[in-house]
Amino acid sequence: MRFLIVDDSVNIRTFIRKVLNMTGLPVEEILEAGNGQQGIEVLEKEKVDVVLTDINMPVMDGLEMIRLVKAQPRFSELKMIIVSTEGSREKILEAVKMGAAGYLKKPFGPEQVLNLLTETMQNGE
Amino acid sequence: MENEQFQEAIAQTVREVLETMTFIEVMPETPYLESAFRLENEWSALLPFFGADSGSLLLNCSSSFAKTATGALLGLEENEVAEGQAMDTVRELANMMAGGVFFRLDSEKSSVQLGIPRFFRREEVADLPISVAGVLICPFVFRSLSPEGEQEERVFIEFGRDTKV
Repeated sequence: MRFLIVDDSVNIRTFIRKVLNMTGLPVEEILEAGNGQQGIEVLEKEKVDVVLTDINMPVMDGLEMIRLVKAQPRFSELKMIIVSTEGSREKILEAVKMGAAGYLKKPFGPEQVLNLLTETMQNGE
Repeated sequence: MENEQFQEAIAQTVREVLETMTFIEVMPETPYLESAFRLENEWSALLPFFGADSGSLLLNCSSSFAKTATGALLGLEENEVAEGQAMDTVRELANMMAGGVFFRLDSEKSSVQLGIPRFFRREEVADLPISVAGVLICPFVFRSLSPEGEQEERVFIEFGRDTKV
């Protein structure tokens, strides 16, 4: 599986990378981007299976990135998961409307990531 | 903002964030009110919030605490942690704490929007473009190891409400 982590915090990107490698999932490659605009640029050039993105970022936030990406038919199979400090039901529903496949609220550990990714990939089958 | 429910939300959130992300165990001490942010330690992250409630959350900690937390977060030895990484950790911890507190107060609606956290050192406080009408100071104590032995340190989570003009 090829992952893209989108977050303006370098530390959080490193933490998520560490957690992904601890889940036992078949991780082929992990790419990174610092905001939604950079995330889109990576998706234009690289094959990605799952995107893990924060919401609040400068330049372009995560929800706008999801909206723009999911508007393109070639990304219909791409799983986009929100990873955010905000976790209200209202925010989750907004993210799902935009096209998010899942929502992970910070703070989290490897078990939560594994459970969510397993559920998300199963929902796609 | 100063009520028991709010204070309990802060205590639970801070412990959850620090234990989950950095494996640091902290114990809450009794909160108290002051007229301004208290900057007992040298590093801070300030995060504005607005909406149904508006003000700022400030996480105040020592640089050594920040490096310990970063080492645990990233799987590094403390002497491998760069200052920039430690500063990023302070900002991100403030972000998670603010998000967690408001989520505990209302898990249904996002009635409060969070801004982008800003890092600053204590000597830079004069440049802060904020003023508050009162600050709830929430101390958390933890034990750290130093060459002199086990020491007690504190981090502070401080909630300040915007002044009304």
